[in-house]
Amino acid sequence: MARLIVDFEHGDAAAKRALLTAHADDAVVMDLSCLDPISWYAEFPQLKGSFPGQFAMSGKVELHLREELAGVEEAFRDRGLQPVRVGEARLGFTLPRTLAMIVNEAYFALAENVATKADIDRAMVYGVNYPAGPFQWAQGRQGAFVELLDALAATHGGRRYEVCPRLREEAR
Amino acid sequence: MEISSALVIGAGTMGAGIAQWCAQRMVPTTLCDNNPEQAAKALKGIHASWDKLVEKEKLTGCQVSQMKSLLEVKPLAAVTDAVLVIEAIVENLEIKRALFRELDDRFPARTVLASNTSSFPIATMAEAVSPARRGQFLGLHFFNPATLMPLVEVIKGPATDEGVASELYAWFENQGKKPALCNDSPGFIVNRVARNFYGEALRIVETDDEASMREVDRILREVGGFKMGPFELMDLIGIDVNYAVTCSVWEAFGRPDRFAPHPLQKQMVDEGRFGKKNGRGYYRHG
Repeated sequence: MARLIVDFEHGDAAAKRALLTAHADDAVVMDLSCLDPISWYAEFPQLKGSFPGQFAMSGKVELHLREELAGVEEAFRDRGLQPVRVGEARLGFTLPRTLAMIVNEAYFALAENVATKADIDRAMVYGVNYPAGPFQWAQGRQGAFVELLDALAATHGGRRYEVCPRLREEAR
Repeated sequence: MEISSALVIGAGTMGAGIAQWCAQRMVPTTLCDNNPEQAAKALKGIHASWDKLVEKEKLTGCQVSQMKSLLEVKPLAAVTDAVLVIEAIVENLEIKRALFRELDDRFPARTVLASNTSSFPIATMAEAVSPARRGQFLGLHFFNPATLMPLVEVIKGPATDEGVASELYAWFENQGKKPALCNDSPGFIVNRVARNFYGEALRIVETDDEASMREVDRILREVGGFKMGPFELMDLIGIDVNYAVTCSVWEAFGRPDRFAPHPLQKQMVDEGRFGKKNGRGYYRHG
């Protein structure tokens, strides 16, 4: 009988591939924060759902399921996460992709000495009611944002998703 | 710095809001507009707003009487002094520069001249005043509605005196605002950093597909904690206004890919779909 495997690890593509290969007969729901769920769904039929776990904000995370699976949402709740079901999966989903661009621009502004991190955060929270400032979102996630922006750049081409060197430096 | 008098020039939405906020902070304030009817209309609106706040018991009748006595409408020619002048007139660089030239000539050396511009470089406007005044020249960018939104961007031009900027920052903070200090750069902080809240949402949906827009709005509210989604917000702000700001920032930075307007924005403007104000934007209204 197929088991449900929910993979919360922030592993790289090779680790994800190995896990899926080892669970070819199971139903897998996987953290694909910086990978394109559509191409992974096409390659691995056992991959039944995905989510961008590295970008959970205030404990909430987008969850895409290709089919209904009992026990998935409970697995998230057991981890202290609140899944929010979404109709489509895409590279960077919706929130991480949007935040990545806001965070990247905040780093460009910082690098150009437009304002301090504290003033940029304060401006976005008190000027346009953002729930947090870009540097608060980036805290501890710089590496994930860089990885996502690089993946978006590789997928879409052009220079739109070019990473600010200051962000890349802080991700190291 | 003690702001013992303020002059707000321009009685449109922003100017009226700034003047109302100043008077609410008990600063003697004069509101000017080159259209006297507009100035009178703004004053009437401010009084009505205060009366409503008394009805709601947010302010007392005594407080409002005092505020009303502190706010007056006058022609600009009749005003010769103020500690702080905030310009909030039409976004036209030449008209603004002419105004600042006149203010520089007529106002005492101690007067601080500020612009509420959202799009022009402070440095370009400061060139209109004498070199001696440039230390007293800066940007003060309020957010609508000025009485409620806490942020004021305090924008230093290249010649702005550091002390003037930091004293104004401290004054706004003491008055309950949340100021953010920044250097002169296109879009300052907010209009630059917020661009891709809209731009990326447009690239996620790509086409005029209402269901996808609703989904993006829902996710950014439910998962991200934003009060409004990008499409709801663009409809509220005005798609034409949002598109104009996007184009202005994109041009000012030399048209980089990351600020490029999305074709759907232009399409909406070309089709006259401006948002809530005319009933049809990304969504249908009313």
